[in-house]
Amino acid sequence: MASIEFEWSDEQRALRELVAGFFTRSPGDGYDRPVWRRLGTDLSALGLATSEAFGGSGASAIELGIVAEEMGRALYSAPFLATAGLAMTTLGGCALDQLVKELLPQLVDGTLVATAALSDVAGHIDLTRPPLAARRNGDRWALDGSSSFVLDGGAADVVVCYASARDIPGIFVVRGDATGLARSEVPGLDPGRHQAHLTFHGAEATEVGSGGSARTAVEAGLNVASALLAAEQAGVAQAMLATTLDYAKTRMQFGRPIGSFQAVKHRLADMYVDVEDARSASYHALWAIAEGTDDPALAASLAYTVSAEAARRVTASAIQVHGGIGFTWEHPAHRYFKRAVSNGALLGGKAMHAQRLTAAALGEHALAGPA
Amino acid sequence: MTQSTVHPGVSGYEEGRRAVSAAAGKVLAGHPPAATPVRQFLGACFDAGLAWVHFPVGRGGLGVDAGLQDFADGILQGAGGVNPFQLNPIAYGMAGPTVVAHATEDMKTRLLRPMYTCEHVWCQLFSEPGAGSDLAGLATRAVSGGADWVVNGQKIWTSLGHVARWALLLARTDPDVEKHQGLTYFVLDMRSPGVEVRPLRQMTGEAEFNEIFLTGVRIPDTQRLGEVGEGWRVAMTTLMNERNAIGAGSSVRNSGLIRVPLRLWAQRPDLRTPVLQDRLVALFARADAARLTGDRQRVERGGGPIGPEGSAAKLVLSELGQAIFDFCMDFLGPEATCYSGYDARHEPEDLGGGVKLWTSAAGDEDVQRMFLRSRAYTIEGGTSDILRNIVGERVLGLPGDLRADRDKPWAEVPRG
Ligand SMILES: Cc1cc2nc3c(=O)[nH]c(=O)nc-3n(C[C@H](O)[C@H](O)[C@H](O)COP(=O)(O)OP(=O)(O)OC[C@H]3O[C@@H](n4cnc5c(N)ncnc54)[C@H](O)[C@@H]3O)c2cc1C
Repeated sequence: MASIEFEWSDEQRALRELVAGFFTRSPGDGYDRPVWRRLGTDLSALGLATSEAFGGSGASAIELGIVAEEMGRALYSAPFLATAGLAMTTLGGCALDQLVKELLPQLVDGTLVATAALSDVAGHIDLTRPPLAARRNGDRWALDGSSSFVLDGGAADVVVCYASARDIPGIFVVRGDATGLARSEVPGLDPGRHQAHLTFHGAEATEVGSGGSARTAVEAGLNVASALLAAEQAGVAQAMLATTLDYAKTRMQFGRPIGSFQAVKHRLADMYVDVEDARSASYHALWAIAEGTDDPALAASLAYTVSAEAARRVTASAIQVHGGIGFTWEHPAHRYFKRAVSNGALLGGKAMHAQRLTAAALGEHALAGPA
Repeated sequence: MTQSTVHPGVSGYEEGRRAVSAAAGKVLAGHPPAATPVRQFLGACFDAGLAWVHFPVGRGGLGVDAGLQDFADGILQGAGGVNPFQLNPIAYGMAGPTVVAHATEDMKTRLLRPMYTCEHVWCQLFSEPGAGSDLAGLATRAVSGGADWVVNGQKIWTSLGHVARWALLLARTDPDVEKHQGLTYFVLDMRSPGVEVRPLRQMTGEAEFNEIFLTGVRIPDTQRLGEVGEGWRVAMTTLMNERNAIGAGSSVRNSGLIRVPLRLWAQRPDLRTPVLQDRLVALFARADAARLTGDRQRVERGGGPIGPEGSAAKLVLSELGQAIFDFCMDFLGPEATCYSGYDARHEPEDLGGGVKLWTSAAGDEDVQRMFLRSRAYTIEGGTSDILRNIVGERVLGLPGDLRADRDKPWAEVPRG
């Protein structure tokens, strides 16, 4: 059923309340396997955009976005972007394959964690250039090469790999414990965000998609993950606006609340403007993907760009308005700031999304140059 | 407030949409824009309830959701109809909503239709030499003299004052109470004896605003809007509508000011550089995000009146507009230093029957002029500082600043 952009249904509101409650109350995080399973089963939060045929709820990216936004607000850590954003969307585009039919239900219920390896060793993503090479190995495939900055690459039971076989792009599934796959975790600026460096030496793989449709499926995964990341950023920014607002109303200096000083008040007004734009752009991307209200690539990169800037500025302002306490390890402001900054460099980074935006905004008038 | 006035016959949004669609179809069939004089076309729109769709039937509206105005304008302007905001911005954006909410029935009948058809251009007599941001501190005095009021004082920065037939006027009726309590609101016939208009030249070279001297001007009490001493409350209707009119962006991508640098970029391949391209794309992202926020807030309001978040929209669009023209100048490089327009007379285009295009005397091509004009964006209709105060205090609920004039009678407040 088509929905009006920006108009939340009662079900969507209820979902938001449910997941928000879970993220603020549940002990531990989504890297605890039992908790991850609960996200899949008790909350049904992982298969929201997956067809009912695979155990999902057949809703849409909009619902996944609600989960992501509330994760951002609670600074919740979980392999959600990688699993529900990148991997499940990409696999959903290959759903005729037998292996995919087996995997999706186990991803929906939280039995498995998954990710996608799309980036090269520098973390760049170029859909015309898969980072890995695939070759035939009997009736199976073997993958060679490296992919870095793979989201949740260390925790993943399943790695959806973008590889080319004789110049044809393809999608290959590699098990996390496959022989020939070496993984090393990269310590993070944001300790709640896990990335890994993956090296493939003839790693055993199964092909689940090939050719133009494979590229389309990978791009869809990138778009969904970017939109979810933007929604998460909107949640991050909203949390820090709320916290900072409370502080500005209660912290007294010179005999009055600091929020009555114009310099502080105006900074908060600018934070509000940023939050509003991050919300609008990220919701728009979700609707563009779910309902076709816009070109999904344009909308996703717009959302990524707008929310990355907004979340960085808002979380930096949060530290500033809190003064000394904002710079301490105890205060949550720095954790939000680190998430915002780190988020703004994931999934290809700002430069790649700016490039996609340039192509969309200027079309044939864009300067020719390296992507 | 008037914005959500609902005519009993028309309830839901969908029903309203059908009513608007039917009315617009009838107007276009009976008065095709290409073959109808502008004033007659606007009259037909008013009579069909498409002028301000949320106004009551008979007052230029259909009593439907205010959010449907965009829909109505889309149909009418899509078929070649004029945009009334460009013809008579203060009437359409501010006077209409204020008059329909606060004037007597008789005055509504006299004023609404001619303001919509552009027979009467309107202006706003609020700002004074001593009262701009602190509008409630204004000094123009209105003294009751029986059935009439007698007004003395000076107004300034009055856009369209030199062509206006009617004005929105805020004046002080009681200097011995706190400043907000002593104001009363009137509509003034600019042809009244004692009204003197002197054009003021602005930094673009043109004179689009004026100073207005009011000397012993008599205003009938029937032209008072709201109670005596309630002028501030009435003025709020005007100011909210002003900011919303300026801040209400279009929901069509690249139809706002961002169209100007995008067109320049397309026309001038010789000037493109990677650094400028990055800046342009960043502006595109800001513009599109602002557009989407406007759309989202419209949906969230569900046709209800715009609250103080309208001030945030005006804040964002005015600063974005300046950044856009800063970019255009940087893009033009050395060419940006050329300008021959200071002495040019920008005659507004005449659409026939004396209806003139007051708001776009120069086209998008005149980048230097638009750049100069853009310095006013963050002053007119509330400066950015004031708007950030409003966002901080009215949207976010932060405490007010210390004020030297709190609880003092207006007459005892220092001025200068
Ligand atoms: C092109 C143009 C058209 C206009 N048209 C009209 C019109 O048709 N009718 C009409 O009535 N008026 C009109 N105005 C006037 C406009 O509303 C005022 O100029 C505006 O409200 C600012 O008032 P001011 O000029 O007196 O500046 P001031 O209020 O003196 O402000 C000077 C500076 O002080 C700052 N400031 C003032 N108070 C505060 C505060 N509390 N906190 C922080 N900073 C503060 C302001 O932001 C500004 O930077 C127009 C102005 C322009 C530029």
